[in-house]
Amino acid sequence: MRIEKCYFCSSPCYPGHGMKFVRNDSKQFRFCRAKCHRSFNKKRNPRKVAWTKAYRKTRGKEMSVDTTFEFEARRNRPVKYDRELMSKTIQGMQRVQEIKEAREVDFYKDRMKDAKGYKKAQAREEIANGLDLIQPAMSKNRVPEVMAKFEKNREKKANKRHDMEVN
Amino acid sequence: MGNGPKQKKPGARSKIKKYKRACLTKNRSKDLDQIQDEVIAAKASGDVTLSTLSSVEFDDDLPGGGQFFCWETSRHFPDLKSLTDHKKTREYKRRVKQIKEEKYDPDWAAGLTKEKLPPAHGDKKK
Repeated sequence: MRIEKCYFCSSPCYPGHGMKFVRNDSKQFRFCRAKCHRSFNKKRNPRKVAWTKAYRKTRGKEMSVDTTFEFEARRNRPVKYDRELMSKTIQGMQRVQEIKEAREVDFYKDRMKDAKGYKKAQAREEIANGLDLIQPAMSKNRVPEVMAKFEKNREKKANKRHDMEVN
Repeated sequence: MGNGPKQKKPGARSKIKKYKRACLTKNRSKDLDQIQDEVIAAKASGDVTLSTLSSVEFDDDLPGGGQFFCWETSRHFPDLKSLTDHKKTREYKRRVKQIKEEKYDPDWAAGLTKEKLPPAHGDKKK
């Protein structure tokens, strides 16, 4: 008995949960729930469905290369029970999990380090594009660069209108 | 918005025989990974034209006697014209693109690595 991984979303399937599909070429597919099974039957690509691990890893949203992954493997050869080895393994697993979690936090921080800037830039852009909506509430001198962009946009719009009228 | 009332109730097709049959497991069409495997095997055996993927022998049970087969979508066609028409469709072109993509590896997605062990019964004869 083992905790399998869902073929579609890669979440754990505990014994007695989910379902297994055996294709006529004897390849086995384990699914954690009906949602994953249905998606598989619809022949969706797990790398293109946003809530799967495969999607997140291909887009670089999660760690995909790390040394902590090397501990978790599909082991098909049973090991003879040894009390000491067992306790050591469990301790080791806990330690590896700690390290993995810390690295995940670092990865997230690294990924998000530019996000603030991007968001600010986006907001600036939005304001510049829709300044005519909020203009009366804005003091013109406060954000000179935004005003410059706004002027440019207005000129463009005016030119377009002019062109249309000419045509 | 603005699409008007629904043309059909959801699930209305579940009782139509042809749609029902298409959903059965025994009528399951080949999955993408199966076709990708076939392509890999054909290329490994040195078959550049992938001719092993198309059936040549005449079979009465198949449409067109099994002579007009599209291996990308694994479908038989009744004649050459419908096959060439099929190869112009969006569905076919999309499939060709999908086949070229890298094969999906669920172990990679789950973060599982493969255990490397010395063979258990390898050195017995020596």
